[in-house]
Amino acid sequence: MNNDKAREYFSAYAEGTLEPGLAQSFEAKLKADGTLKAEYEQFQSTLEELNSLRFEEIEVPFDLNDRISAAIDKSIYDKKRAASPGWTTWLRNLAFGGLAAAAIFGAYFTVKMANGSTSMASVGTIASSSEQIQYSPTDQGIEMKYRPSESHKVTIRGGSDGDESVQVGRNGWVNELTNAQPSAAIFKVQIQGDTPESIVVVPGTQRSKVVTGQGSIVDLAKAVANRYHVPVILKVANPETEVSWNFGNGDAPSEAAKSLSGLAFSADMRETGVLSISDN
Amino acid sequence: MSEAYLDDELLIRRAQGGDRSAFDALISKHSARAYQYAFRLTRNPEEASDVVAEGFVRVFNALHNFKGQSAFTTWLYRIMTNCFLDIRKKEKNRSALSIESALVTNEGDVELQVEDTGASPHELTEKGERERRFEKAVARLPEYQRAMIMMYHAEMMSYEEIAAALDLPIGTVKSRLNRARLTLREMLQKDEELFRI
Repeated sequence: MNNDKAREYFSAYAEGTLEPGLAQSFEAKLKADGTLKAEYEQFQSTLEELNSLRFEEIEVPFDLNDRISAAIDKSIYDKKRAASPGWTTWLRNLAFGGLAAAAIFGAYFTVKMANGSTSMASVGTIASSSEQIQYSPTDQGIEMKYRPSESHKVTIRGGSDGDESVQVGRNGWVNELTNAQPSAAIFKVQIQGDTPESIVVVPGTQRSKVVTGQGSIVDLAKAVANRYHVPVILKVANPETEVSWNFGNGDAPSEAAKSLSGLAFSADMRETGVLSISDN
Repeated sequence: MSEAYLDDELLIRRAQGGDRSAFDALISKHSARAYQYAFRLTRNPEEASDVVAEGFVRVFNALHNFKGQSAFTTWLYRIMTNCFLDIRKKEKNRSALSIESALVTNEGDVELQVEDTGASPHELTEKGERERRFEKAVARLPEYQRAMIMMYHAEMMSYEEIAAALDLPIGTVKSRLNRARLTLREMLQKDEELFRI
């Protein structure tokens, strides 16, 4: 048995799993070679130190599970966004350059003409809700895209910078509402001449474990955003309507719908991953 | 009864059916152990949290493929190990890490990463000197060997469990672990000689 071969048997010999014949040869080798014997003794010390690894106390971060949930939610959103129609990119471009806007409008109208239909179902929601703001989740909050057929003023209330108003023309507008706080934040978005205003609930950085509660429809929307980490758009005439909730094992839309059963509201999840609550 | 106390098999079945709270319960049950393993590999709380978060995202996305042929924890170890290796690979591509030396083994393990603790031998306290040099030596092992060492010695997994987690024959696990231990002994011996100078 040469030294390299003997080293191959270090672990098995130390664990007592080396075959008796080989163990005998190994012992004879160590007896004949003092240097190898010293090496094996150091190996045994190394094993002892390795076995002490299991006693190391490692503190687990208190927010680890929230971090995991947030990473999963982000993955879900990213998948949904990747699967959503490409017009979102068009609209972003639309907001930033005239040439790009012309090309995009060209593409838009080309699709419309090619379809030969005014329903525009094949291009998602852009035609049927062109006078409404389109919402989609982002890493930090929610993105708003709006392209009215004629100029309208949009007012956003509830942001840290106070009320903001912007005049949006036919070239469109893109804006993002973000929330760095642990729990959900509320923004009120009003398009001039359009009632009721939209209440936009942007989830915070942490996920809540609270499943029961009572309050207004707005409170329910916050609870859903906190619990399921989804943005909620509320467009109802009376947001102060009282409601109670007790979330079960379902997803955000089914639990919101369950909480609203018997009331004149409906909840549905949009393709983009935004929960919408509106009057029936 | 809290869902975290339910059997993995039941929670997985429910999670596969779309029950998010069942998946949350799986996270609650296994995240601490996953974190401790990731921390042992990275020695960095932030990086360990990243490994665990990314690992659970992969578990979530691949859960429908989990057939229960191995224990959930075995599968989890495999995913966490792959996440750790992938994150390190990305880092290597992004920035040049200092390479103290190269060690070519029979199986082609060639790189030893140096994780400089910033402490010179003189700065090490006498009491913790051996432990710190040991920790540093473990950190210098190639990532794959380090993962095996941690699975066996810290996580107390059997050779069979490690073989299942890494999808390797048991003989390969045994020989690679022996090689990792030999490498570690050699590094510690060299460190000790240097320290004596």
